[in-house]
Amino acid sequence: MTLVIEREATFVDRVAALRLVDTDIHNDLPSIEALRPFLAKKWHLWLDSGGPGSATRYYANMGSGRMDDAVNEDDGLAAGDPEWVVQQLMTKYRIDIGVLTGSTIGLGIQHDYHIQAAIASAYNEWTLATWVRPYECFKGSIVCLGSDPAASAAEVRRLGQNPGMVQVLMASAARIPYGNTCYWPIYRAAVEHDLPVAIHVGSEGTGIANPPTAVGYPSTYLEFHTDHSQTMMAHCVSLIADGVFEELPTLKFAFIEGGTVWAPYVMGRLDRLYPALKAEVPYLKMRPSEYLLRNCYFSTQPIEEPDDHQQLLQMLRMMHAEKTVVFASDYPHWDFDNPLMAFNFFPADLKRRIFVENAVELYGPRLLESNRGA
Amino acid sequence: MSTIAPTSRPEDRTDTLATLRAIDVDLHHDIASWQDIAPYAPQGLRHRLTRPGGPPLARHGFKIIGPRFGEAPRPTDANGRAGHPAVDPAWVKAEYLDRRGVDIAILTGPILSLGVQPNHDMAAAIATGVNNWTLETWIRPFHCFKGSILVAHQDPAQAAAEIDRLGDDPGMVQVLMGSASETPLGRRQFHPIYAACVRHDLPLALHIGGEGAGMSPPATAVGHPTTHFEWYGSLPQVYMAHIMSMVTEGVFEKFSTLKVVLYEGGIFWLPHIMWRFDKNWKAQRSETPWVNERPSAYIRRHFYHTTYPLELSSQEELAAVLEMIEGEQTLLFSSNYPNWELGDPFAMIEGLPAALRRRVLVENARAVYGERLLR
Amino acid sequence: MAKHVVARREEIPPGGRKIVRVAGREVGVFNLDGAFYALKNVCPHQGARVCLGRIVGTALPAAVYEYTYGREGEILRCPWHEWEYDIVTGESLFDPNIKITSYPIEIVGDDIVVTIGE
Repeated sequence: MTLVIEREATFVDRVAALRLVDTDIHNDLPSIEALRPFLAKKWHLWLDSGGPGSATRYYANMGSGRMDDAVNEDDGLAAGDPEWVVQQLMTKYRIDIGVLTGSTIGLGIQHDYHIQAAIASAYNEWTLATWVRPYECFKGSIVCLGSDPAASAAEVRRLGQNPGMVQVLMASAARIPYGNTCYWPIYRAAVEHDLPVAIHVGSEGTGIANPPTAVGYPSTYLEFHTDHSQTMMAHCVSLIADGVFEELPTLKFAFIEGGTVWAPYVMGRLDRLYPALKAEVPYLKMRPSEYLLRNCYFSTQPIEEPDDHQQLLQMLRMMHAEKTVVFASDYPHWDFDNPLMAFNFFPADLKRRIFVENAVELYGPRLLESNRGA
Repeated sequence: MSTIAPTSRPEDRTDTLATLRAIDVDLHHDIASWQDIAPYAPQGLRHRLTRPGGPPLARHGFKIIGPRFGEAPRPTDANGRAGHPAVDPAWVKAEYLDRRGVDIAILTGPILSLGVQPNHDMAAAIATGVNNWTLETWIRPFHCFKGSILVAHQDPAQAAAEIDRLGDDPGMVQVLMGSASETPLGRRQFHPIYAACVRHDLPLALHIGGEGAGMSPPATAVGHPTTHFEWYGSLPQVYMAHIMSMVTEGVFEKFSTLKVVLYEGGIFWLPHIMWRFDKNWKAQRSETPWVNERPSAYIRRHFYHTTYPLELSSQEELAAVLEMIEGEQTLLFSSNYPNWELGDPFAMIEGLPAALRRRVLVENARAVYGERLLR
Repeated sequence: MAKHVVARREEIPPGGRKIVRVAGREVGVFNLDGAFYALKNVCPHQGARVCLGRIVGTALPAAVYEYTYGREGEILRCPWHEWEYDIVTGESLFDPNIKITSYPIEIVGDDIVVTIGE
């Protein structure tokens, strides 16, 4: 009896002691060669050829795309060395736990899903070996391919019990919206292991993915980056409308780096449509907004910046940010939000929910489990 | 192609802009038969419109499943069967406009995918036929109906020519394009269309509904939606892409008087877009150095939005969003008649404060469409 | 108001810069073609060490679809969100009301002297 109480108190105390959980750190893979020890020999010819062919996008940032003041002279990278990231990000910005999203999220938009599935698996092992096992402050994502649901479900099951992994991660760039039943094997595997699924922007309009918008290709990076949130919105609508959250009520789904306050549009429009159109989606048992608020999480970055701070807080209230929004730094990308400054006008209790508690609810007790067993 | 001579009767107009009760900017008059349209289309392609089943028109498969038209009035034929609510202008005037106190309705028609039809000339011929037919059968005989110059944007030269042909006709108050498009509408190939709009001082209306048909990409940036519910819920994303494109490609620098009306898209996504776009512009400004002002300034100044359907929300939330986007000046009453499945269009704006309701019902449309509304 | 010697003139050749710590803050000292400027090393946006950013030119005001690159060496790009600042005035290029704090600077003999107010 006493033992149980002690354990519960410890978890609550440990959460209370957390200052900030970061849901989006892009640790660098210094070179694809780093994956060789983790990749089966039959794939080594691809490494010998300098890695598989890689479709790349046209759009480029006006600057370097990353925080120029955060580059480590030793390796020329801003996030190549875990120690560097501990120093430059975790210590400086008082972040206690960081979820790694890496720099190879878009594997699922490359053409050859055979090699990409192998790379994803090797990458996940590399993450565990290099970043997660040696550091209690980092947690990993199980990078998966939307383009190969069977391989992805197997990968989720393979690593699903590992305390070092806290979510499944896919690109938001896709050929088919994520509510489609073709992806449900991935979601079932995630739910079996109490893992949320996260999607992340960046690879739109590249490889096998659709154009970055529903009306084709934008001309500029300015449009391209601003258009990112449309892929998030489309997946969010799809997941709700195709009944994923009705089928898998415990599945948590996180939308990372797509901006935040578009959720009220999804809630409001789908709720307006639902009473009249519910015959088209008879498997839904709740209002669409109820699914969104129950199952969906939205990262802050890049946080919208109206001149009037109160307007941002109004939009956040509409989407119940005290439950649905989680902090993300996006270190070391250029559109990083400084947690020491960008949220200073938030009410203290809301800020606490966004900085710590919602992430704990999203990732569960695994977030605080030791990585020694990873 | 000759124009239909206007036969407006100004002495019959007893109302003035000040006495108007309501202006409805979105009435989808319908085509009972393509045989009706054919005589108004260019001679060489008339025979393509009269073929069985009408002209070749690519369609998507998204449609409302279940009862149509909600509580919109329905005509009944001699056998007591319900007819289509929008094929007879006199009936529409009596049973909708007169009963509900609408003084002027802008016709937007049933064709929303013209810009993604593969044959440029067929699309242009359909536009011409529909425009001429609308003028003669709906607009000339009735003061209460005004028209939209429907154009097919995939051939900007023909589209601009159609705007020039009808741009000074008192029966036409705007240019209408389906928002479904192979490529974002800010691109320079479309600028001749905008030049024609401002030449004739006509707002440009964009209307969702054709997405996924013909040459258009999948209706979302991540692929084809499954159900009509999902499709219709996602369509505002199309407007977001077009807004981004039109602002960054300098459309409003080149055409500083152009107004764009976005139909049926709702408004709750505008704060996110304005703020995200501004934030990115501050950083990436030098990529498009002709964008001299914050993007949100262009959006507030040049874009208008319609009420059907507004997102379901509390009155407080709606008021908050309207303030964020300066929507008191840019929100226009639309009925989307006869497609009232989502509810009565007047009920959707019932909760607005009286002064704002008046702006939405009359004054904002006055500002957009001007004196032309009463010509 | 106090004057502080922050560097010797020859330490910062034209096109160069030096970050110094003075009066409890970091200041970036820039040499533009022989003229010196001092900017506080804090971006008014989210507090980045702005003076570490790239010194670049920018796309000049233009008609639609025209591109002229100019003001090479006059613009400081914040290393985070890439806001462009005019080194001479500290003003951002997109809104002159948003600016990096700048300090009066003078050359006294071989010394670069910055005046920091209270």
